[in-house]
Amino acid sequence: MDANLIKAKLIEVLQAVQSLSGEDCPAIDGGTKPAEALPKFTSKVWPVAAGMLGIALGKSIPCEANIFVDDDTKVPLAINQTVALVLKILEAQEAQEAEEADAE
Amino acid sequence: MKALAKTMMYNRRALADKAMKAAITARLKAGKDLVSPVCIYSIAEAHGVRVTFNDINMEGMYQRGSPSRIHLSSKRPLPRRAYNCAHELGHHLLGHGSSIDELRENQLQRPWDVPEEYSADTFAAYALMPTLGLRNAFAIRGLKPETATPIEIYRIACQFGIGYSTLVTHLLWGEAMISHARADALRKFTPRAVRAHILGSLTLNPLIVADEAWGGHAIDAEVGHLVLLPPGTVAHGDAVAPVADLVGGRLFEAKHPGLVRIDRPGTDWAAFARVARTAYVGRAEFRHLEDEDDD
Repeated sequence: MDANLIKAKLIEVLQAVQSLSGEDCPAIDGGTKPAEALPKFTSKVWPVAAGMLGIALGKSIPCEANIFVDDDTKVPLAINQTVALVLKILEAQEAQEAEEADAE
Repeated sequence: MKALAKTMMYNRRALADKAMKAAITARLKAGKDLVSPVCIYSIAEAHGVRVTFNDINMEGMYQRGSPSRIHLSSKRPLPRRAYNCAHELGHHLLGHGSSIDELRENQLQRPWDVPEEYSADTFAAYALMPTLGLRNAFAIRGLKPETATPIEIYRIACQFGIGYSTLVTHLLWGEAMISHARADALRKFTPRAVRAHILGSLTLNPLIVADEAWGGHAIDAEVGHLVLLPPGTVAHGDAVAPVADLVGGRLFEAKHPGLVRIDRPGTDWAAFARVARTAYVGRAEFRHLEDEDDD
């Protein structure tokens, strides 16, 4: 999947989350760290945003995968880092699906 | 003791996080969004779980099998039934075994002391009251959870098809949207007292309030329920009938089982009301079917 498409959809999702929450949404670019920059974008909303991104992309992003904060260091991720992570998740999914299809 | 309490706290957090994510996944896999109120019975069916209302005095029962089944009591109030269904679905999706939940008032152990019960309750709360949905429900009404009145909280509870006290508990513990002091203040008002404030008189009948911010999803009621709709609302069918025009809107009473479209002429506000017979016993998916001899 194209990284630019993921980035565009991710930004749309984050804007929608902030709008639905009645919160401001500052300008978002590749260097923005949503967990730091977006008001009330808390850990309760991260899996929701991941799920909404999955819907927007027509894919399944498991909400156990934390795409907004590094699981090991707990450092908030920037948009470009999240996009790279999502790309990795989707590629792994595709590889697994291909493997399962081959096994059948 | 402090270390044990800390461990319990940690475990609860981990359990709550797992249950919240399971609720999000459950909604997504059932093809639902992560904002709107949902019909929990249709989500259970989408997960292959058969839901039946029974004439038994209990909260709910989950039976793992092929298919798995959820049994609910038709004697419990409608919002309680929905919550119990979500709770039992939580047992199913979190991989717990079959279980029976007695009436809450008869339970010897506090449910939240049992990890499976705490997890199932947390799942139920997030499945029925998604975080973003709640935030949106307050935002579109121009409300803040900490300052919303009991009547405003009641309206939001109606929108999500859950009880007033359930919403207060979830706003406090699940979402941390209100303080303990605010929760205590809100709990001083019983749902009955809130209904009396809204209607201007005491009534034993359950009351559903669907205000202008209602998102257009179906209004689930039972025969005998009162439904307060925006002023000027009309019903295109006889499942519900207008009974009074109040300051807060037009009051209807659910009269017959069935579906009815309701709208406000001159506006884009519209919804369907789905009326089940009182204390309906049978499969959940058939609860709104009209009686053949109703004609």
